[in-house]
Order: sequence, then C-alpha cells, then structure tokens
Amino acid sequence: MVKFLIFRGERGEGAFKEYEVPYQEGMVVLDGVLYIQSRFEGDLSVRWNCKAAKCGSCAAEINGKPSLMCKTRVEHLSQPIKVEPLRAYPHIKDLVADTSWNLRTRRKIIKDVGFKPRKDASWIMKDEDIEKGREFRKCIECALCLDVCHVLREHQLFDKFVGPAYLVFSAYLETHPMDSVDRISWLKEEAGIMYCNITKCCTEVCPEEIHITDNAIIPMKERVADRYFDPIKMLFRKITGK
Amino acid sequence: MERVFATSRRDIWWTETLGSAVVFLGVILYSIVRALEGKFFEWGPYVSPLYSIPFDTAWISPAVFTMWVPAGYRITCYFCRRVYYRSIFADPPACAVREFKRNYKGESAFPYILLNIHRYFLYLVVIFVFIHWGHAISAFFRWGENGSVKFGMGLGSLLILADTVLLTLYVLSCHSLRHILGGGSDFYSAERMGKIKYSLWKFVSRLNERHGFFFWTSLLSVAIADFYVRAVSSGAINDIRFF
Amino acid sequence: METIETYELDVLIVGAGGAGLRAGIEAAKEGVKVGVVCKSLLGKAHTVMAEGGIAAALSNTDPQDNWKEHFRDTMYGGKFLNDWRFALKHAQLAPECVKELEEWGALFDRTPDGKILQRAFGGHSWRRLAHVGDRTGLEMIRTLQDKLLSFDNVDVFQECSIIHLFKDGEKIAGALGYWRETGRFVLFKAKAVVLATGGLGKIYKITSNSWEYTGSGYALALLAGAELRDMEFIQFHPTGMVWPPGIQGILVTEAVRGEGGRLYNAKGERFMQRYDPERLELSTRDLVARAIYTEIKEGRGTEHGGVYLDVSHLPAEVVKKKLPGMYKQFLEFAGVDITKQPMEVAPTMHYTMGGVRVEPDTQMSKVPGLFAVGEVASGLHGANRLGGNSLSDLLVFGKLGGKAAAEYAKTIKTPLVIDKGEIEKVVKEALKPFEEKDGISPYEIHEELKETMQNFVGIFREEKELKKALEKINELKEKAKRVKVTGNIMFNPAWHLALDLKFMLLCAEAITLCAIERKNSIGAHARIDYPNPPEEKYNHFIWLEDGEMKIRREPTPEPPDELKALLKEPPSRKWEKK
Repeated sequence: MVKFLIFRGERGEGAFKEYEVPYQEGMVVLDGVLYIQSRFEGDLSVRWNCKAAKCGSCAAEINGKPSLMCKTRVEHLSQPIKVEPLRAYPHIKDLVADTSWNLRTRRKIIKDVGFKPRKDASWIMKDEDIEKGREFRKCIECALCLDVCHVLREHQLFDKFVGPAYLVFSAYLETHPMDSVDRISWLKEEAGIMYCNITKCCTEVCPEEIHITDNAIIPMKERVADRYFDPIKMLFRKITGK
Repeated sequence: MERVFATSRRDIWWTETLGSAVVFLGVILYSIVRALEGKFFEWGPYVSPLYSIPFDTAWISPAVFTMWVPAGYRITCYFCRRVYYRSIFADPPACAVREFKRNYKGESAFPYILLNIHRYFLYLVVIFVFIHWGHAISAFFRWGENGSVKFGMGLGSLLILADTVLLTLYVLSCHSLRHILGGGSDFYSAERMGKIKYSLWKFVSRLNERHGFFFWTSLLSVAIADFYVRAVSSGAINDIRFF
Repeated sequence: METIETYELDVLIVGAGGAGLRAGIEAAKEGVKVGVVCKSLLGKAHTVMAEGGIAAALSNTDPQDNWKEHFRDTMYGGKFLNDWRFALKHAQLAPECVKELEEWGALFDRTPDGKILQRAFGGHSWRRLAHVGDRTGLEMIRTLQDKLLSFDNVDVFQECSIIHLFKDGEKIAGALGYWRETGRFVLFKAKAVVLATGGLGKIYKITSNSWEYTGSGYALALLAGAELRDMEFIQFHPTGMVWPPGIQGILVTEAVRGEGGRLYNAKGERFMQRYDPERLELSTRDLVARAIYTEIKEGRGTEHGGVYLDVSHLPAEVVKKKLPGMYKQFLEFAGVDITKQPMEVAPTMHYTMGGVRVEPDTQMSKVPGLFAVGEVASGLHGANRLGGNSLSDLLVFGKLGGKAAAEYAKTIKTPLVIDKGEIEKVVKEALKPFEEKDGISPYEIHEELKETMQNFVGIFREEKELKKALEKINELKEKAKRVKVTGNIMFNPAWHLALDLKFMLLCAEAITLCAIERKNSIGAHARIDYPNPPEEKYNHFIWLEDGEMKIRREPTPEPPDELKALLKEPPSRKWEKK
C-alpha cells in the first residue's frame, strides 16, 4: 500500500487528508490520485490530460517539490506522499490552482509578433539558426518554473514580472531568425527581467530540462545590458547615432 | 502567513545552502586576511595567485591593487550571484522554501543593478588570465646560481598550474563571454562571420554548462595554491620538489 | 431561474486542438467575433501528443513527390472508402498550410539547404512528413495558439465544457456549457458553431487518448440533427506502451518505425515479413496493428503482452536527436534505454476515421450553421488513416471550415432566438446527478463501458460479441439515468464524467451499430465471421429519429476519370528505389 496526504479544500481553506492506495509496479503519483478519485472521492479536483509528461497539465507540489504528477514515480518518494496544489497561484479547489494569469501573460507577449522572411522572400533557415529556439520550444507550459520562482511565489510580483516560462517564450521570439521586433526595452521595462536574481530554481524543476536560466534568461539579460548597462556601447551609439 | 524557512520539502534542503555559505565565506575571509597580510606571497619560482602583480610596497599589501579585479569578476558572475543570493541573503534560501518578506526588487534597482557591469570585469580579468599563465609557466623554471635557467617541478608548480587552468576554464565558460563571442546573433547562416560566431558560441556554450563547477574549483584552487606558497615562503614546510 | 452568464458571438469554436485553433484563426481573419471554448487549459489539447509529423507533399526531401502522389496514397490507405473530394483538397492544400505554420514561427527540422525536412511514414510513397523531432504536435499547437491569440476579435474560454447545442428552427443558434471551475452554466449565442472536439478514445480501456476524448462532438452533432459517417472505423495504433500498467496505451510514435525501427516477436522473428514483405514495418496502421495483435494472441508475445520494437541498431545519437521524446518516455516511465534495449509495444486505440458528415468545401453539416473540423469530422480517411494525415487534416479543413463558418455567420442578419424553456430543461437535467439518492457512481459505469468496448468492439470483431456489446450499452444507458455524484458543483470531476457519459454511450452505440451492419472486412474494420472485403464500396450514415439511432448505406462516390487514372499504381517505398 502507498500512503498519500492530499490537500482538500476550496479557495485556500482546507487540510490534508490521508488515503491508502494499493501499489502497482511503475506507479506514478497521478495513478494514486486518480485511484482515490475513482474509488473514494469522486469530487477530488485535479487537472491532467496526456499522462505522458507531454502536455504539462498535472503540475502539483509533491513532498514540497513542484513536479508533474504523471512522471513522479512513487517508489522514489518518502511516505506519506504529500500532494498539494501549486502554491504560487490563487487556490481554487483541492489540487487545482487558478493559473489564468499564464494565458493573459502569453497573450500580452504575442501581441507584438512579427516574423518576416529574408530579403529574397524565402524562409530558408539552417539547423544552427534554430538551435537556440528549438530548446525554448520544448516548453510545455506546465507552470512548474512559475510556481517555484520566488519572485512570483514569495513576492507575488505577478504584475511586474512575466516569470521564467514567459522569459523562455520571449527568448524564443527574440532569437527567432526571422523575428523583426525589438524586444529589449520591453524585456527590461514590461517583462521585468531584472527582477530575476538567477537563483536557478526554475531550471531545477523544468521537466523538459530546458536550461531556463543559462540559455534563456541570462542571454536576454546580456542583451538588455548591451543597451542599458554598457557605458561604452551607449557612448558609441550616441556618437554614431545608431 | 507561514514562518520563514517553512516548506513541505522532505529532503535536508539546507545542507546545500549552508555548505555553500561556509565554503564561500571561508574562502573570502581567508583571501582578505591573506591579501592584507602583504608578505609570504612569493617563494622561488612561485607566486601566489592572490598576488597577481607581486611588487614590494612598504606601506600596503600589493594585493590591494590587483585583487579587486578577480574579486569584482566573481562578485558580478552570474553563477556566483546564485550562490550568495541563496546562501548569504536567503533570497530564496532554497527552492520552494519560505523567505523573508521585504520590498523585493531583484536586480532591477540599486545596489544589485550594478552587477550588470560583469562584462567589464571580464575584459579586465582576461588580462589577469595572461598574467597568471606567466606565473604558471615560470613556476616550472628555477634560476641557477650562475643565472642559468633550469626546468623543474614541485608540488607548488602543479598547484599553480591547476589554479591557472581552472581560472582559464572559469573565464572561458563565462555567460558574458558567450554573449559577446556569438550568443548575440540569431541568424548564423546569413550573417557576416556567422560560421565563426556559431563555432565560438558553441564552444563557450559547452564549457558554460560546467560554469558552476569551474567557479567552485577555481575558488578553492586559489586558496589552496596560496596556502602552499605561504607555507613554503614562511618556512613552515619545504617545497615538495619532484625534479 | 437566475440569469445565465451569456456571450454573443458570430462563430463559436468548440475545442482548441489543432483544428479548432486553425478554424479560429481563419474565422478571426474574416473580422467576425470568435469565441474558442476548450475543456482544458489552452494548449493542452491532445494535438500536443501528436509526434511523428505533418504529411504534406512539399517535395523538399524527395523532389519527385507531389499532391497526386499524396492523393493516391491517402485513397489507398483508406481502401477507397474516402470521399475523394476531401482527399483531393487535402493533398493539394497541405503544403501551403505547413508553410503557413513556418511563417507564424514554427521551427521544423531542416534539410541541409535550410528547408523543411521530411521523414518516411507508413503508407506514404515518399518521405513526406514535416516534423519537429518527435514533438511535432507541440510545435504545431503552440504556433497556432499564438497566432490565434494575436487577434483582438478572439475570446478564449478555458476549462469550459459544452453540453448542448441550440437551434432556432433549422439553424444553429448557440450552445450551453458550464465552467469546470465553478460549475456555473454559460450560454453562448452564436450564428455558427464549429465542432472541433476530437475523438472518443475514452470509451476504450487501452487508448492513447486523454480524458478529454469523450466523443462529445459526435453526440452533440447527432442530437442537433446532423449525420455521422462510418463510425465502425476505429484506428488502433500498432504501437502503444504496455508497461508499466499505469501508462498502458500511451503512444509510441510511428516515427520510430519511420526512422528505421524494427518489430520482433518474442522468438526474435521479424514477423512483418509474413504480413507485408514489401512494406514491412511501414505498412499501413490497420495491417501492422492486426499483425502485432495476432502475434500476441498466438503466443509469440513478450512478458508483458506485447512485441518488441527495436531501434538499438541505429546510432545512439540519431535516436536521441530524432526521437528525444521516446527516449525520455521509455527511460522515465519504463526504465528502458531504447538506444540499447527494445521497447515493448502493443496496439492501442488511437483515432476515429468516422465522424460528422460534412461538405468538403465548407465543412458544414446537414444542420445550417453547424460545422465540424478535424477528427470529429469525416470523409478524408476512409477505412484507415495514414500516419501524418491527421495533422494535415486539422490544418487544411480547419482552415476551410473556419473561413466558411465566418462567411456563413455574416449571412445571418436576423437575430436568432434560443428557447428559454429549453435552457431550463438542459440545466435541470445536468444537475440531476446531485439529486439522485442511491444511484450509481459514474466511474463505475465508465469502467464497464471501457471493458465492453475493449473486449467486444476491438481490433477483430464478431457478430455475437458485437451484439453482446450493444446489449451492454443499452443496459449502461439505463444505469446512466441513475448516475449519482457527491460534493458540490465546484470543479467536480465525478459530475463532469457523469455529463460526459451520455455522449460516450451514444458514440459507443453508433460504433457498435455500424460494426454490426458492416458484414465484411476492410481497413480498420476486421470481422472474424466475414473476412472478405465488400464487393461494392459503400459508407454508413447514422442519425437520430425521435431518439432512435438509424443507419443506412450509400455507395462511396467515384472519383472522376482523370483522378482515377492517378490511382492505378499502388503505393510503395519509392524513396528507397530512386
């Protein structure tokens, strides 16, 4: 048997409740949660879709660590396994948190998108040109990085900072070879990239193993530094007028 | 609200935080003490890596004139920032652990906004890398009594060489360098010198994955090499000479 | 009754997978007010699970390829039960739809000269599938989702389920749904409704589909007066995972075989040599699925009841580069390193070839204003779908359907009226499970339905089993009337399932009825008692009359002579011979 402690309640009010589920080989936390749902508690709220770590719906905190329930094997966990909703977001019910901020944020970013072909109107791109973007496109928007990021989780700066996932998304747009939009001042002023203090928790929890900090955020910070924090470059631009 | 350091984590999360703090502060403390000491930084062919440009001054340690460069480089280093934000400022102490609630501005405001000058420390530290290679090479040569030069190796030669190699790797894996050498480009196949930029970016990127490792090892190797030089210079031990 | 939250739209799109998003984009381009409703969060739809690629004759990798070849392959794959008009449009428009994705930011794998790279797939004569490693669907859904969100005249309604369509006279007038989060009802007044709800995998036990695949689109269409076509053709994907039990059925992409993966039984025989010596592992899905099933049934299966799929003869870097998702999936879930060890696989319910009968140019059903696109529609795939053709299906017909829906909406000038009494009735019925005193758990009924379909309406079918299934479905329908749920209406999965049961049972009935009626074997429909193919090609159509399900057959339309001429030579692995 496997012991689970599952957070039950609405709008932040509630408590952990204990359940026992028979162990099965290769069992993951989501198996346990769905078992409880179908046998004991029909109304146990949980989000899930693909069950194969491809859609990023079943994000929760398992023994305090933000993880995907569908790929966290129970045999590696100390029991009782504590499962709770993403704590950075407002709570709805049981294991479901209100992540609607994510869609609003993505939508704000995508408003400003402009892919233009090369001068000869072709869309010829080579492997090396899309290598950076390819990593960022692995993002399944599971929100684990957003949940663990202390700027959002602890300081609740949802109105000032777009969070790791959307910095990854911005990095994809910014590094796209055909991208025609200047995003640097947006990154600094609107996206709040300077709020990130690169403590790398986002990278630690990413189920797609995207090097969020090293490959997305820091390179974007460097681009911001090019424009705003490099006195020699600024002087050079003043002189040449570029 | 829950108290600071509250978490549902079951692992002993504070070991990394505390361990980093102890090593990091330990080396800083040691370096400051040693830098201010102003003696025992040279012995025979050896020069302590804390004293990049060793010269004698009567009134102040020569390290004061040079040590701010590597120190500044490290303090502004992206990896190092992670270390002290976590271990020293507990901001956050570890992932998914409660921290102090205060007016958080991250690196968007003074003083941390100053850390963006990292690239200038990089330019300066590159010069130091060359100086340190000079020290490393000369650590393998001994001056004979009649002015002749002889190849030789002691434990100190190896420690200084190791420190220099690690420093070089630490600098070569730098995020700013990665940006400058090609990371800023988005269309390698269509840009001028795109092929070269791409290869350089790839090269630094590969090393960059180990940036943290090089940070720690090079931090320790400085202290170890210096400690050895001090030990032989002060006469506490004799140089362990291989040939 | 309290007033219901109401939205007024021109075009309501139900579902936000590839087809729904593509339809939404096209409708939005027309300048009309568009609403996209999805049951999950945006971007989580099952399209993210599509792995292999998008079939389109771009002629990048093989310059000899063209739409004629693609048309031919699709018709052969569907055993000529496809409506040729769909297959023609599909083959002709797919390449431009793929290029559109690129212009909207998608990053496909590249050829050395910087074009979109294409890979080989089962039943395709040339290397034709534009792909992004083995996560093509994710790239596609992100690209479409972002394009859609860039329009100001689009609203997205997340975590909202549609349970009823309204008509004003003959014309569609809107839909009623509920917010999953709060359980409150919401009314969408819409001039046109586009169903893009995907398939019905959740009526089977072993399936690659997620919980969302409850067949609501088929049922909503039937109940609104539309017709369904060929529901007996259920595609079992040859390769689903068999172990560990928790993820049984999860897809193992055909790209594994496309990249050179080989199938072996427990005795180490490369058994496809016996079933299709010419095309081997890259035969059509119906054939490979049956071959694997037969091997397992006849005792040549592996320890966990599968066969081996092996890529360990390929260089490890190639596997990791071209199949990174599969590499990770097997390592994480099954503890198998596929660069060294074989995978264990068995067929898994994957796709519904049948669906709502629509017009090929407009995707409109018999009901004016009701459109269907993607898997929930039918016509393109005939009796068996080729791998890669569903993603191009979503793009091509999503685009056509979205445009047609917007144009139709523009023609509706007089306001449509929704009957208040009908709304009240639907709401009351939806809340009934909370009032049942000693009813049955929806999970229990669902379990029984899945068992029934898996055991009796599976890969091989037989009259007496199908009849047994139909009996059981009717029994479950009665039980479903007494379904009971506990708790309140806030995010209550049991209640959601209870509402979905009605749809699932209708779908199950339609499939079983069609399967009983088709007394021959063709494509994905294999009858043990009638192993021969039909003498004449025909399609089944299903509709509801006073709540009774009716079925009739119509001969499959013949393509005109100039297209028939293209169909002479059967498909083969031409890229290997050039």
